[in-house]
Amino acid sequence: MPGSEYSIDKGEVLRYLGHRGQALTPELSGLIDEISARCLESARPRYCFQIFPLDMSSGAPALAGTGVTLRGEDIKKHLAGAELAAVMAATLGFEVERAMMRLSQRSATAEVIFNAACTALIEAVSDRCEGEIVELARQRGLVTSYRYSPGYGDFPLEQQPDVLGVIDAGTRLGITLTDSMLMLPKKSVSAIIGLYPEGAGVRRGGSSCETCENRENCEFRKEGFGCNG
Amino acid sequence: MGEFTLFDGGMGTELQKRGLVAGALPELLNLNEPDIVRAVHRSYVEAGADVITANTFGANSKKLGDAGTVEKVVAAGIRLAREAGAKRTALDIGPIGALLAPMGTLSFDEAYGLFREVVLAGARAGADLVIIETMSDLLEAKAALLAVKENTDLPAYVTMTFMADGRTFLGTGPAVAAATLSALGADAVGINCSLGPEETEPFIAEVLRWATVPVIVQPNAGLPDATSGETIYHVTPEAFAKSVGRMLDMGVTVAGGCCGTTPEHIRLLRREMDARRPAEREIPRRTVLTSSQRLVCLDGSVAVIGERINPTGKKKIKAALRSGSFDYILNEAISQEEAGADLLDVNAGLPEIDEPATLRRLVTSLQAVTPLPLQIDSSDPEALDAACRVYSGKPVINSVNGKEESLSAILPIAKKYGAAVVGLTLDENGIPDRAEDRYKIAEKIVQRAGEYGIPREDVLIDCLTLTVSTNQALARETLEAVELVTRGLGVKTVLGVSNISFGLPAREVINAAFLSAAFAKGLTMPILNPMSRRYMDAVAAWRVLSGEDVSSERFIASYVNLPENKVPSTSPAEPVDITQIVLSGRKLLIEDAVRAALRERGPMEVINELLIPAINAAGDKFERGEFFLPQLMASAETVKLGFDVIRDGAKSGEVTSKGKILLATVKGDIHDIGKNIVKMLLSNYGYEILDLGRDVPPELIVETAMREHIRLVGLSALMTTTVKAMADTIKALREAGAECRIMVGGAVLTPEYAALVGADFYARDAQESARIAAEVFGQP
Repeated sequence: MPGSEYSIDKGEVLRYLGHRGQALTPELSGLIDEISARCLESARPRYCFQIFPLDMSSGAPALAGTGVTLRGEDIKKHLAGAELAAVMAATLGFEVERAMMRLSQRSATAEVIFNAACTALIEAVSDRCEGEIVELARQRGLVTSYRYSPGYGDFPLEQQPDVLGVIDAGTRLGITLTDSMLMLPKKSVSAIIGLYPEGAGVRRGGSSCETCENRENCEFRKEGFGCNG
Repeated sequence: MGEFTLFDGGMGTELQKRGLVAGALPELLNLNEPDIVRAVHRSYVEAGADVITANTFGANSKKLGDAGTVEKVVAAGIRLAREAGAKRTALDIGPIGALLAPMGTLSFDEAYGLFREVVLAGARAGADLVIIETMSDLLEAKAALLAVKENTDLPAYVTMTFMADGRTFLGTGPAVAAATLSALGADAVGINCSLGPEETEPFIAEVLRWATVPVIVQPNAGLPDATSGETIYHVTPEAFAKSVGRMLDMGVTVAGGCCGTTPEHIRLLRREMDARRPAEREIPRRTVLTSSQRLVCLDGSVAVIGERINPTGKKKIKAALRSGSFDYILNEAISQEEAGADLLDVNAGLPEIDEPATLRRLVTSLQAVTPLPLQIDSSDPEALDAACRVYSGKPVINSVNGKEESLSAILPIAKKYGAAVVGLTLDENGIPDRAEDRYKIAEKIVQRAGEYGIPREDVLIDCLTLTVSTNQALARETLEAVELVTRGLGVKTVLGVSNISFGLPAREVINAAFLSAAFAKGLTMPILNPMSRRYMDAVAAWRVLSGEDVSSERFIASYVNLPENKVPSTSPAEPVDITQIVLSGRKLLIEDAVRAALRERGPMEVINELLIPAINAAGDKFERGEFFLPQLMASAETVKLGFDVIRDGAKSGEVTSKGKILLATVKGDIHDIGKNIVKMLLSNYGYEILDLGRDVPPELIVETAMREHIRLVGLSALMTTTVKAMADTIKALREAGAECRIMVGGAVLTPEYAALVGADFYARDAQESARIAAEVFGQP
């Protein structure tokens, strides 16, 4: 799926760049457009997901049939009342990594803008994946919660291999992990979405930062980026 | 090509049918559920498979962790396949699941070590061959293949997996994979997984076009359908066998199935094989060079080798090689590519450095920023070996010559890494004057290469250019030698052109004429400076004259609207105030403004009185929220251009550095944007920045800090998980007695955390790093 099937929201790019209404010169505005276009050109966006029944018999949410139990109080709270859980992953692929490494040699400004454009794009790709999950849920008369990722709250980053493993994200999307649990390509997202019976009082977060339990000491927000930055 | 070989089909899907849960390590079933594994194997033996793939795909110690030893899991896997009645058992090797540098953090040696462990266990357990499969990273496939070749005599088949767009996840296409892995000595190359047979067919055609060894295909039973939230494969055994049968007719001789294929798919494929004979296939004999991203074929075309990455006579390259801060060289690579180079020569030969280590690291770094194939250039066999080993593709080695010592040292390296090799027409008696005598040396090199198993098409002869001003007759001899070698030996030629004009004025004029003359004699690969317009004009023109540029399309596209002169779009009405230019980030104006200022003031005055106040003004605006980050950075880049003008024009010693700062993202972390922002800003305050890049081991930081007498080290880490590496690095610096202060930054850090890891300063942002530097170096 080429990046051209997507578009990059300039407002989002500016938000990730920490723009707070400062006057935007035509040069800078043009540069952002140009680099966003380059980002779309080099991206190979992909996503995949799978829906699992939730087994709460052990007291913690387990993805039935996988041997994987999700750890931490926050993911438990997040999935309380859910019947099913969708595990999803999305990525922009390695071309954008390559393009960014090259760009970083030429212009740090361009690199920073490219990074922000990528963050906006991976959000759009994740949204599309989430949209499919929402639609499947709707067909089954269920509603969904927002995306919850390893590293949020006390849902440990160390469960990243489990989350990616149950949907075979390595083979299907090419996502790998470093020893420090960093996803490569860096512009990748993994998340869990709960599917609940209608009326279960599910919180639908807007942007996940607003509802993230970890927002006060978030590693990424300090730099003005989302947690995919 | 002999007989067909039939592999088995999907293991994962068959195991899942028998109750294996997703996400677990299927290889552990060799120990825990041997009956299930054996039963799957037996079903494929009964379906008629010649080769049974042992259940060892992920049996490396990285994936297994504490769950089982490689030795036990692999031995059990091989044993189960044999017990099931396999005619031949293949040790199965899949990707490690972690990514190699430069994109990832796994080193080539670590990857090789992991594969070696599996290979040795498999060989001991009695595997008949090895299948390296589902590879996305060409370099990882190479590490696995070398692990087989260097430790066993087992045949090794290698397949990579491609997406619907015809590239692997890391961007390698089937042609590059086929050419590179053939050259590296794979016994069969091909494609598996990801796609169904229909989708695989055009890509297997590419593999057949470029592979010089038998071709293997193992498609999935169609594209996985995940629309229901579950994964389903739709291609029926009948349709599968028919599609793969078509690929057999195209020239494929080894086939089987991957995900979603069943014993029934294999049984019907057996029937297809039994009903036909292997198709005749013409094995291509062409000179091909590759990177993981690109294939350069010298069949009917010329290729320009960019010569600029060579320290001889280049101060900045020398400095970069000595310090290990490669930015300048990486930029030279990109510039040469943009100027039209097809390959890049890479030479790191300085007497006072560790050439093998430097060349190896440089080759890895270059591959992250340019897709061009590399020509690895050294007189040190150890450096050539080290660099070829980590090169992802089929490189050129520069060079071997007719001396016995050179032939016996260099040719085995070329053979081992499947490299092409440049042969210089000189020997124990020096460079012969006469073309015929140079031809004789070339002939000897080609013949000796053949004895080592290096095919003629992988030998590129350099007939050597001598200076025309010292011996005018020899220019013709070189040209004639090119013609003799091209016609007589049928090999491609390489020639460095710029030597010809040494000692003459207007050297480019002579060089360009010599280049055109050499093309006419058959020269394939000139080594030159692609930044020279005149040379690239000669190349473009030759491509038209030789017919390579069909219908002159490329020439017309490049030259029809060629502006006569690049005139910067400045007008006298534009502001010349440097602060204004910097604040508005107008890069086009800064160079002229700085030149104008230099007419009235000395270089240090321009720096201290104009440029630094300007960047400070931008910094202040950022602090007050009047600027956001890209604006600050655009200002910083504008100042940097101003600095470059001053440095380039200054006499030695006239512009003093305010001090050296070493920057690095710590080991295990590959986030480097924060560090790059800091670098950009600090370089505008007159500091000299040594940037060691990302995922930098503590030892390299310590060694560089000591050698370069660094007073300020800046370390970056973005992940909580990599702050540990930051603490380790600081500890190592202290223990080594490095007399430096250390500042740290990165999203996870706080002042408290910074103190905890032992840093002297916490840099909240790039502006703060400039203040810290001023404190350390005692300047405003």
